[in-house]
Amino acid sequence: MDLSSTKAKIKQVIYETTNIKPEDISDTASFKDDLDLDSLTLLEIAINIDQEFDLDIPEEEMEKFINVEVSAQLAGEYMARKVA
Amino acid sequence: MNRRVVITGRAVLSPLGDSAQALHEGLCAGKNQYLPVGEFETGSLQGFRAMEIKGFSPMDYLGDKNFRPLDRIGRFAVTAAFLALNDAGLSPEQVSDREVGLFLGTVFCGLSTIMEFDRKSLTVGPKYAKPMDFANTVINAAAGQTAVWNNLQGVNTTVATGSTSSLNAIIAATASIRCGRADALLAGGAEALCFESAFTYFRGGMLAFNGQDAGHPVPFDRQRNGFALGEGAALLMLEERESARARGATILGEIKSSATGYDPSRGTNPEQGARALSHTLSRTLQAASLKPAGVDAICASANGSQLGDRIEADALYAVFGDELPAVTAPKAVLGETLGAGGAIQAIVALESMARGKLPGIAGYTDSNTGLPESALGAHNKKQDIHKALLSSVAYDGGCAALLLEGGCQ
Amino acid sequence: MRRVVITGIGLVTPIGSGKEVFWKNLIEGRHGISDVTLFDTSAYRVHRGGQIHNFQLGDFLPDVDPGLFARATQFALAATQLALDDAGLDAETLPQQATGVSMGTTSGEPNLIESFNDRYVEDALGQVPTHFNERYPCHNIPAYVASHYGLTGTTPTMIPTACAAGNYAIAHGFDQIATGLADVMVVGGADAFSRITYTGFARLMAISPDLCRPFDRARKGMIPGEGSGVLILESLEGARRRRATILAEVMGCGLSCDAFHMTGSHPEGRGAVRAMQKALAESRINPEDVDYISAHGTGTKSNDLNETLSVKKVFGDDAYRVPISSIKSILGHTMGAASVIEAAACALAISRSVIPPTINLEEADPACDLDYVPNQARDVNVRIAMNNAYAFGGNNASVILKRLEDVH
Repeated sequence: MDLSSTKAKIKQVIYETTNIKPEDISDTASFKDDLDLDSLTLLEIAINIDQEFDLDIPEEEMEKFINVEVSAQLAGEYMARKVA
Repeated sequence: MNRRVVITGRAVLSPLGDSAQALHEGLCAGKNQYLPVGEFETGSLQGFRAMEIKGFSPMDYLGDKNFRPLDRIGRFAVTAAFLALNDAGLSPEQVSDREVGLFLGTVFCGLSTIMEFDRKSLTVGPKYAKPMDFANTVINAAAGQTAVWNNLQGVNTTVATGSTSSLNAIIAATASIRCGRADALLAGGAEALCFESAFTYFRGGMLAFNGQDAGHPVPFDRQRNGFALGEGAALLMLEERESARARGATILGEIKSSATGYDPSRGTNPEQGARALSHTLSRTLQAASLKPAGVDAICASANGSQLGDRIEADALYAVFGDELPAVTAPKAVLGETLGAGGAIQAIVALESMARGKLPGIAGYTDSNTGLPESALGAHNKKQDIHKALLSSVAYDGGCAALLLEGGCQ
Repeated sequence: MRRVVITGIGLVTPIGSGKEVFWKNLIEGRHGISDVTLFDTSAYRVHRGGQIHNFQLGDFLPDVDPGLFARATQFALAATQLALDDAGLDAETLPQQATGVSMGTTSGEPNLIESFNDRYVEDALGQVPTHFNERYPCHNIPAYVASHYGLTGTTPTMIPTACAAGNYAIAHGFDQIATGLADVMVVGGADAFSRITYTGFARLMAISPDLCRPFDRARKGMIPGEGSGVLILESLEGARRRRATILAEVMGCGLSCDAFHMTGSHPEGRGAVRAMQKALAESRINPEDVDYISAHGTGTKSNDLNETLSVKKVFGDDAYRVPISSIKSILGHTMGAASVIEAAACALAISRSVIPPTINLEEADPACDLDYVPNQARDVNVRIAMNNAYAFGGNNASVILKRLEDVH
């Protein structure tokens, strides 16, 4: 999956979790500080990304999914690891 | 210090609509709400009927916000609180300054959320259980969400006593204001329908619906064969009387007295049940120094249950005899709303006092309970109502009663 | 308004059942944390809990059929019997029509949810028992207690305000007696170990992998537990009339709501501060009068930090004087039972002049710099104790207990 499709899917996941429209989410907007999302929502976004792409993210790594750009990169890495 | 408790606002969400006016009109018209459900999958309960709120959208009241954190009962409770605070004319600053709190009655709170949260850990594994759902699995979740969404930093309590919960919540809130623990409290209850509550009540043989026929969930009626489930939310804005007057609040009524009790046979022994409720009703009247003849109307909790309605009828007869005033029973149209019932009864009583008309018992034809026809068959009679008595008895033994006085300043 | 006292304590806990067994293990710092066996934790990253092993209702109520009650109800019944025995009340002396029951819980009877779902996923819903709604709804816990003992003074009430529920039940019971609605109140809390609760806290990454280390630099979270605590509350004059042993007086309760977040406490502790202030005001005492604080102290990074900040806001410099310990270090987090068990520990601290320790405290978090009574119980003359509890939904509750000899 290419990076831009991954980002689009992630934005869709965020929309379903928060009602924030994909067009209002920039790639680098911080979920916590720019989108003003609370801890439960941040955790849920990470879990939903995990489920969407079937990534198997260890719990302690979930807090690294801080914006769309980083999340897409990490998702790509996890997916690559799975194929390998 | 003799602190009195008055009602300065109210809100109700039911299949009849989102206002006390729509509630009263719908009850008087006997608009049937006992329909096939559409808001949840009925699974093996083909043709299941209930008094469901169809097409409810919190966005209609609260604007375009993210409602993902709220489950169905959360949406009902948050919206009802918003409407009640508006109805009471309290601005956000006043809500904060007066430390408005909340006493919310419920039986299950988010039962479907609890069930699905656990189910997910069984089916796809605990990894995919959602944190936002977990937050709604605690039974005080609806009350907590209501506080978050409406900034209610005062005393916040969830009260669970079975189907008398919201009346108990109102009684406990009244006591808190009387004791000086609070000056302003929202009090009432909420409940949401779901497959699991439908299934388990059906399985318990308590419903009029028998799997094929809708049955006859009509309070006190000779042909009654069980209750139907309903859902909704209802809240009263309760305030200490002097501070309510000082802020120029409209006073809809006053809570004069109340009592709670219990039938230790858990609703299985009709004599014990009737005794527990009649005792509760009598104590309520005694606490207000009121004779039975001083009660103008009664709002009962009867829901079509053969035993439950018998118990309530026997208790009412024990206290009032043949002089029983007109009786209304909103569950005839709204069904057994579990956690919301008592608060709905209170709003029906207030509205009836304001309009001088008590809704008849929709669908009622005649009774085998021994209660006078003049009381049960009043059929929307116009009458002056100053003092209304709310009676509530749960199928498993809880009893509560409340005396309301209308239109005082 | 009548004065309210505690005349009996009943405890069913991960460190033992019965007041004396509990107290001995508490003071000696012998914790009740073990590997969870009630369900399979292999899919989880954590496996430890405050589980009660080998509980048999028959040890407490031999003539009752345990098959009639789910787990939390059994705990509540057992703890109630222990409390009544402790108070010296039996069928002859308990004024049934003037006695009510108020309890707290977090999840009620979640095992019944689990067995429903076990059948749901097997497409076997026809096997769901017909009595589901007679046992599952959480109000049945106090109702079964009321029914068993014939207590009809008030409607048996469940106040399911999660991890603060016990204190709320105490406050509710206090109000009934103070305003004359009941003469005796059986107040308590109960929660049973469950897959749902464990999954939820594990999902929030809030469970510690080994022990509960409140206020410690290396603390990694709470440990879910189970149990029941029950107190017998009576009017002071009623207790004196029957020459009951009075363990402590309930002076006042402070209840508030953060109205901020469903699972995290307010970072400036606004609700916790308010609850403490209200309790102090209702009790008509000042912070400097408090001799011991029983902390909520779950062992999570955020609770222990926020709680420390809240105590400092209320107590000022005095925060450094008053000892504050968390017995969750010893019991784990018994959920709805926790604050009643903690209130019982406060009553015992008052009557025995010993404060239980916070164990597993090797190196305090530098931001947590109060006197948490590390690792060793301490002889202290406790006249007044404050019991704090904070819950999901932002529910906060503080209860203040006082030794009876002292007059205002």
